[in-house]
This record gives sequence, structure tokens and C-alpha cells, in this order.
Amino acid sequence: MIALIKKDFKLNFAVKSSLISMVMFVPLLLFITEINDIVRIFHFIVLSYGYILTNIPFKYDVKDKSHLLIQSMPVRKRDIVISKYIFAIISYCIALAFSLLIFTALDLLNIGDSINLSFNDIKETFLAYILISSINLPTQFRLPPKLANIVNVFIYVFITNHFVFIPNSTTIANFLTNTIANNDFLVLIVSMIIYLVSMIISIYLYKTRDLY
Amino acid sequence: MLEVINLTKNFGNFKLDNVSFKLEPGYIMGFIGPNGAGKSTTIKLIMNLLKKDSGEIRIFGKDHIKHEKEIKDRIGFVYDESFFYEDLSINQMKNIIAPFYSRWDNKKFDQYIKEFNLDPHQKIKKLSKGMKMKFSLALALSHNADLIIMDEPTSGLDPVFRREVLDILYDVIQDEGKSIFFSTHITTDLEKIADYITFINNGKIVFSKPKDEILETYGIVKGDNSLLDTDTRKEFIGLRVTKVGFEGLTDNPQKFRRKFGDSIIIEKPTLEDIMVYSVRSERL
Repeated sequence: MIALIKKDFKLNFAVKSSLISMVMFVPLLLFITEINDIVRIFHFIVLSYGYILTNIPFKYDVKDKSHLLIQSMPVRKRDIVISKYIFAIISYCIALAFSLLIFTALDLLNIGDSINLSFNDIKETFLAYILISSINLPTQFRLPPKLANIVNVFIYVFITNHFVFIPNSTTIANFLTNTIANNDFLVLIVSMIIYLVSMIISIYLYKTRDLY
Repeated sequence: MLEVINLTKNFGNFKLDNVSFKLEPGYIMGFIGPNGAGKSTTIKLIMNLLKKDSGEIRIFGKDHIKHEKEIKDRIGFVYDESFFYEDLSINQMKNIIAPFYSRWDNKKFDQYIKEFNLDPHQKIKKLSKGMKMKFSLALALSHNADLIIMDEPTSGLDPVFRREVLDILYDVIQDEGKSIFFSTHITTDLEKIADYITFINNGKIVFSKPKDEILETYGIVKGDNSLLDTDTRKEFIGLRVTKVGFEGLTDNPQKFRRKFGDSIIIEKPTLEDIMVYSVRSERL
């Protein structure tokens, strides 16, 4: 299990060019975006980093069919799935820490507006991130890699759009951002239930899937 | 070591039908058949990449799904194409793979890398097909695997490198506890190193026997077309008739010798002859 998580971690940071583009992503976004609300940009950045970090290892499955290599090694299918769910949480933590670091640095350098974050901002991004991952991961474990990646982009864009750019536009987003976000315990319980159900579904889907 | 019992997988347009064979410790089994016969499907089922419809696969005496992790720790695999992370270097890839194996031997890996003239800092995407195959072999042989499973490892390689691969496999098999299961359609490779041959065609096992027994049993019968009648034709597994005469594969050459005496020539077939004639007869 640890070897699987380490593998995903290494894949994310093995290629210098992807590291550079991650660092450059925030300043570039601030430069080109027309959104004035810096908190919304923060939400967007956290979700995007989390999404990218979780999905880079899956991208290799499309490009190099590396899932066949991993599945041929001494690992159980169940462990592959659980490791991805653990890695997705780790990705969120890295994304959050990295975003905080970059926004603090930008603040110190007086680039852009200064940011005032509350704990609710972290809860909201966490909820949205759990939702994205809970839908995306089962598709990765069932659909052919290429198709799964296309579907995932749509899910990411749809949920991010509803949480970040038009947060009060739908009943679900409104409910999640206003009702649940005001109750710490409920946020944790709801997130964990969604995530666990998604993981159980993924284990079943992956165990019964043919790999090509 | 490896036992496949009545393995079935149905894809709709293709069916792997009741495939059975057994590989004992210390032997090399060649798995032959034309393209699309079911070789890769069988290997993918053994490696649990595909879900079987029915049948049993036992490796080291254990069920291959119930004891998947434990079994794969003792298997070295080589596929016909590279499934490595192409953006990584040889060393980075090795560092990803090594922690998965309980018996990984870094010294052995370095030794193979040196022997194969591979640069550990070279990116995998920059390696030629032959180099990737060498890297794949180095990985498969560096964790003291008891069973090496290879899917068309020599296809697309030049004869010099193919011979190198076969020599390496020959060295591996000197350890009597190890076995190799080797799928290929280049049958000449197997004539050099295989102890057993399993022939699959159209999803069904044609035979699974010791190589020497196969080469002893079968015969290519050559003669004049005037000798051929309906009954004689039926005796052949595969038959090729030209204006100058006929050539046919039989699993009972003595019967032809008794019937036609010196008016026919009987030659020992190659594995390729056996494969080609058997496939042709299926298509007729």
C-alpha cells in the first residue's frame, strides 16, 4: 500500500516541467483572470491542484498503459483502489499547503489583493474536493483510461464551476456551502460517508474489470 | 508450478475455450499459436488482468486470485510492449518497482543493467525496443522470481538480440527450481530452449506435450499427387497440394510408410511446420 502511494507521489514530482507549471499556475492565473474575489481564486487553485495531483498518475495509464504494469506486480486490486483514495486526500493536503504557501508569498511580495481566509473556506474546498474525487475515482476504475479522463475533466469543471464561480446558483451548491459548511461535525461525517461509499463502489468496479 | 485447468473466457467474437496445461518446475514451456489464437489473453488471465468466466489457475499450487500478492511476488513478467512510465529514467522506474518485491536484489539489477549496457539515467522514452526489452528482463530477473512469464518477448527484435535473450533464459533455467512460460509465434526460438510446447489455435489447446515427443510424433509426408485419394487426404492434419506433388503433416508417419513404402519421403517437421499445417487445416 505504501509503495503504491509512494509511486503516485513520485510520478507527480518526477517530471520537472510539471513542477514548474504548477508553481507558475497561480501568478499566471492572477495575471489573466478577471475575477476580483481573491478567496474564490484560492478555492479554485486548491481544487485545481488537488485534481491535478490526483490525476497525473491516471494520465500515465492513458499514455503508457502503466496500469497493466502495476497490476502485474505483487499488489491486490483492492489495495490499488484504497491507495488512490488515500493519495487523493494527501493530494488535497498538499494542494492546500502549497496554495497557502503561494498566496502568503504573493501577499508578502504585495502581488495582487491580500487574502483573508477563514476555516469555512477550507471546509468548502474540502467538501467540493471530496465530491469531485468521489465521482471521478469510480469512473477511473471502471471506464477505459482515455474515456475516464474525458469524463473526469467534465466533472471537475462542473463541480468547480458550481462551488467557485457561481456558488449560490444551485440548490445543491447552496446547501453544501451554507448549511453543511456551518457544521464542522456534519461536514466530516457527510464527506467520509460519501468517500467511503465511493471507495467501496470503486473496489467492486475494479475487481470485476478487464484490463487492456 | 503453473497449472491452468479448463480456463474459459468469452469475448463474444472470440472465446478462450477450456484451456488446460501444466508447467512443472525447472522447465521452459513455449506457448505457440498464430496471432489472435489466445496467447496474450491466456497470459492476461494468468496475471489476473482479465477476469475469467470459468476454470482454475493455480500457481505454486495456490489459487492465483486468492493468493495474488504472494504469487506475483515470485513471478517475473515480460510483456511484448513497454508499459513503463516513459517520462521516467531507468533508475526512477526501478525505484518505483523495487519496493513492491520482498526479494528485490539491487546488486543483481545493477549487474544486469551493466551487462545489458543500459544507462540508468536514460529516460525510458529514449530507449529502443530492444533496450526496453532488456530493461524489462533486468526487472523480471532481479527479484529472484521462481516463474518467469513472457508474452512475445522476442517479437520485433533483431536475431542477434533474440539470441542474447534466449541465452539469458537458458542461464536462468540452470536453477532447477525456476520455470519459464514463454509465448511466441517465432517458433525457431523455442526449438532452441523449450522443453514443453503448448499449441493454441482459435482459443483451443491443440496439444501440450514435451517438445521432443512432438517432433518425434509428427512427420511431413511428401509424395506424388497420384498417391492421394479421399481416404489418404483424411489422414493428414494439414495438406498442401501443388502441381509437382503434395506435402502434408501427419501425427502417424509410420502408417504412411507402411502404406506407401519408399514412394514417399518422410521428413521431421519444425514447430513452424506443425503450427502452419494445423492452422491451415482449421481454416479449411
